[in-house]
Amino acid sequence: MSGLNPAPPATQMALNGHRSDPVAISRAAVEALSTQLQEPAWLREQRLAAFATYESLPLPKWSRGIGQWWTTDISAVKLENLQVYTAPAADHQPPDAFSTQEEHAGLIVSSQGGPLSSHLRADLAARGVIFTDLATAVREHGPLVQKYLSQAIPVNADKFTALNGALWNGGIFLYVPRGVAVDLPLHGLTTIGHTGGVTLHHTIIVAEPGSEVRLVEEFRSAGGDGLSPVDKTVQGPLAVYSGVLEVYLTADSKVEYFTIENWGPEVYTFNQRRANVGKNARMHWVFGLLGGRVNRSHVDTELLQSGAETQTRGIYFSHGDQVFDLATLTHHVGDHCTGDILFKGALRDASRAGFEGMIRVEPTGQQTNSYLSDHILFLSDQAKADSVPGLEILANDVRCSHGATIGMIDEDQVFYLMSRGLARVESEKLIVGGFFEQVLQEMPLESMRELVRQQIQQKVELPQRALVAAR
Amino acid sequence: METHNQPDPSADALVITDLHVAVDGNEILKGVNLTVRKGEVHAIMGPNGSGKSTLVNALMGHPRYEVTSGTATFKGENVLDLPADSRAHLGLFLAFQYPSAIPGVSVANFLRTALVSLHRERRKISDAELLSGDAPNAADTAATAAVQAGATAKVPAIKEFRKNLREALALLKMDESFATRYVNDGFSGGEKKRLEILQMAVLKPQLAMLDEPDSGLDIDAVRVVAEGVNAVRGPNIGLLIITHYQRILNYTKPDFVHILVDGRIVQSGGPELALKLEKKGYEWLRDELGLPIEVLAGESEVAHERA
Repeated sequence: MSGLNPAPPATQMALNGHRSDPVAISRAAVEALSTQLQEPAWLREQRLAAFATYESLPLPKWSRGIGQWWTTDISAVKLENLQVYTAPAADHQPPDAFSTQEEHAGLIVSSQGGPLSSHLRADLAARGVIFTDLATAVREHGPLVQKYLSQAIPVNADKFTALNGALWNGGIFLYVPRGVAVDLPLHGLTTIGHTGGVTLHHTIIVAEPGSEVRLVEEFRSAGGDGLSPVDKTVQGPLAVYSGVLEVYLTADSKVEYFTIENWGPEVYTFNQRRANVGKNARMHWVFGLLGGRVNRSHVDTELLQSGAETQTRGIYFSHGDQVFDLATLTHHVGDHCTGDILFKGALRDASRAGFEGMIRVEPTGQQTNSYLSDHILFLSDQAKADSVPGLEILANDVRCSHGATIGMIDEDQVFYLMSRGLARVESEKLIVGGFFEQVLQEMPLESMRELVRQQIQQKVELPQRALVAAR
Repeated sequence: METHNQPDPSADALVITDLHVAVDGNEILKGVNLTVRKGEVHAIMGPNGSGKSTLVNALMGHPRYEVTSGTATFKGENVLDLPADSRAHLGLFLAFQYPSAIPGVSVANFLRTALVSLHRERRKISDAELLSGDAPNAADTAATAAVQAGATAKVPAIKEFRKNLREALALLKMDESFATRYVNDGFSGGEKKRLEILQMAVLKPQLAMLDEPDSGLDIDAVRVVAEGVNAVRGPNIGLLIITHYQRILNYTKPDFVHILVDGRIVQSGGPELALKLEKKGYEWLRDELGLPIEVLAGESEVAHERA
């Protein structure tokens, strides 16, 4: 396939030119990293300030439901005992990674310590597109990075965000100049190894007026994927992934961001994502959440100026003891803005999912159209979910609606299919596949749809309560 | 006692003996005896609440219907011990009165998946019979051979499947776009009924139970459904049609008509029985056979005509 550049072997490609063992989280580690990357003073100061914030904040407590009946349990994450990779420690790349098989305009491959390889099609580079790892971008486009880094998401958003601000060493800087439409998707593939520890990536997308770009980020780990047994009684080396994503859309630009999170069962992942959407710009989010021990994801879309638009399509499917915790905010500041969020989730075994979706309309947000819905399907009576859509409307001329449904898989549907000769598991595969199909149909990339379809089918097929570690 | 409904030795029949079924602890069927052979068309009529739907749902294996006593065998196998999919593999089929919608799953995908399952499992069944030399008796050899022929045939290729599906759609006067619509999702009542018959035509069961295939349909739609049933009808399939009204039987003439009242078959006859019922209403039954019905059923003075 043209346009496909498989990453070279890991040993050749530490872009930052350093390899190091992981270090404990400390102020000294922040200074050492900044020195190692030969960073400008502004960034060093920013990192140290973030570290002070990190030290001052408690671990976040994400509670859900009536009477806060459930809190996403992250007590196993003991940051004082964990180490941070500050240089690439490549050891594993999934051979079936979606991102390396797709036709793309650029690909950045990263490990827990940072970038391993980076590629952007030459004609796009010639037109001024920047697509590189963030540390390289600081060296090559310092003032540009400074203008955006941690501006949309302040480092004090929560403890993980602060830690990310202090010790990030991976992530992507994507800049699309005025009027440039990137034809093929750009891909990021992040894989973390067997050894656990903390991975901190910060990604920035800047879309100048009239530009268009699509970034697909895929997350994997050597310790398994979204189909591996997940059991809280199994003690593997715990891994933490903290991702901060800031998207800046200026007038008439269009950004699509896809994330396929197919982490292994040892990974606790905490994501803060925010898009600032300018006049008549369009931000599309697509989520495929399948893996991880705990997956906390916060998505904030700020519709700041007239005619800004956002659409979100997401699926999540949990099994074993997985916990998915999603929070979305659609914030209408500009007038004539449109928001449209649709999530569908399925839960197996003893897994849990929480969804908290808020639509907030400021007094300036007249003529808003905003919708939010979340639909949850249980495949097990051991699974638990809480779905809380919310509205806060301060303008008087808006159309907003929200809705959530939660239900067990319909035994009449199962019987209907079984009466035609399908085994129970085949029946469930069809029903669950059909349940997700509506969302999949609206995902813009056929190859990604197909990948998620396959993962969904395989996930339904997993043995009941696949809680025994097979690692 | 009736004697003609003793378990039928011919292994290709559905043989129901003294079947009792409860729903949520309430006994609905109170001893049903019935034999449906290959090539026969039976109609079961009866007032609302008499247990008609309960009978076919229990035979297909819906988990809500609890068999409290009695037996039902098909091709010699006790189907009541089997999950619904195994019953389908044996050749049973139920056209539902209220079929479920399966959003997101196209009719074509659903039927293809069902066909693949049926072929795979029917092949296993016939292989097992061959290995064990378990062909029940000489009289059944032809039937067994037919099953094996069907079973060992390859799963139809996609092209052949599409052709069969197109033909079935044409038979039921359904537009080809039905194949890409989601199963029963947003279908009208008539479309749902036709899709049930279409599934029967494509999946080719050996014993099909049709639960009120005519209810809620206008006369033209009834005719279309009946034509579909007639196309499937033949020497290799037994049909059991549940209906509240006579009119579908004008197009699909049954060989036998049974009247089910309060969980028992109180009278059986030929097609003239349905006409008589239509003309005189269910009150006639009570008047002619006397009240209470429980006593009548117990006396079993009901004539059962058998060809």
